[in-house]
Amino acid sequence: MIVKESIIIVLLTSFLGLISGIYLSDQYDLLSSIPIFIMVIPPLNACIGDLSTILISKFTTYLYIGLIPPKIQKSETLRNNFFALLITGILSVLFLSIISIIISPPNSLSILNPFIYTFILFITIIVLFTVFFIICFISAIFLFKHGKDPNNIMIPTLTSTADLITPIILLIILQIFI
Amino acid sequence: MLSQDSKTKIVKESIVGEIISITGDLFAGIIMVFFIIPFESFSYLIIMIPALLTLRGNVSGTFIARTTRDLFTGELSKTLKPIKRWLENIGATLFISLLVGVFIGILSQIVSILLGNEIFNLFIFLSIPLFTILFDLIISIPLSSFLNISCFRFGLDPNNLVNPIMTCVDDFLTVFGFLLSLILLGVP
Repeated sequence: MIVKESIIIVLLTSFLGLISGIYLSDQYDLLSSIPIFIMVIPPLNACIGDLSTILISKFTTYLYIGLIPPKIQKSETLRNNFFALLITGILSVLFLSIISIIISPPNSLSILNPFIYTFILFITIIVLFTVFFIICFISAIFLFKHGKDPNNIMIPTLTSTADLITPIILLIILQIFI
Repeated sequence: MLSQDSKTKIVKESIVGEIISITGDLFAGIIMVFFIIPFESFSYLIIMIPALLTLRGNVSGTFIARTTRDLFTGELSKTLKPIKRWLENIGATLFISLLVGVFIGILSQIVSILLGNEIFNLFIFLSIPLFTILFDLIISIPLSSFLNISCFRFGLDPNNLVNPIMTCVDDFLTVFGFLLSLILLGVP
């Protein structure tokens, strides 16, 4: 029963992971010239995955207790959550940036200014968080309206999508700046 | 209470978990940069790393969620009885992991060939994900079960604590297991 219910989604999400790996392999020359970016990919993936999980879990709770209506409209609750979790993301990335610069191997930032490196991480988290916030909100309302629990469907989907999208967006933004 | 959640309260509550999660994953990144990049074959080994991390999250995360659910519903006691139910959960987790591990190994090999990389021994390409996943699960399953039961005994909700802790532990174990597999299999 467990195998039957899980195998398809696990195979699909692993396939998404492979696509991300293919992209990283394709960008190997760029990554190997700035290895600090290889170091920050796992924590950045974890950060976006965690924030998405918090968002979908909060939206689901708000919808179930009636704190937000099942309609796409602005509210104080939404604004509070958007800015609070965005600040959390930015502070987390600031921490990640400082620690990674301290412990990174010599020459891992030789072709990039540390401030630009931090700025790239900031832009990445802001872009990804905004996109995931919108996706979480719309999908939570859609699934809730159709009588489904958004937690069950969206948490595995979003964390896997975050694993796929985060390195791609990070490298695209990096290419803009160098 | 939820309606009174201010921005400051949300930031305060979520930042601690984030810092722990980021720190754990940073160790995984450090292993990659200091120990895995130097491998000659890194440019095509990197294909399977995101897939392994994703698989780890989905398989280990759902194992933890199922154990927590069973503890809450009383289908599993604090002494892990009936043991058959816990073993079934482990069996399913291992079966899914090994099956998807083979899938990742074969597909990585195909993709690597299509990208024009040097043709690698298929046995090695299959063994790397299988070893990595087994290494992670052998440590992760007993550890997460212990944490789950400990939280339950102390009246804490395992959902809030075990998953964030195990995310960073599992990511570290996956990357470390990956490194060990490369060394043991003599990958160039």
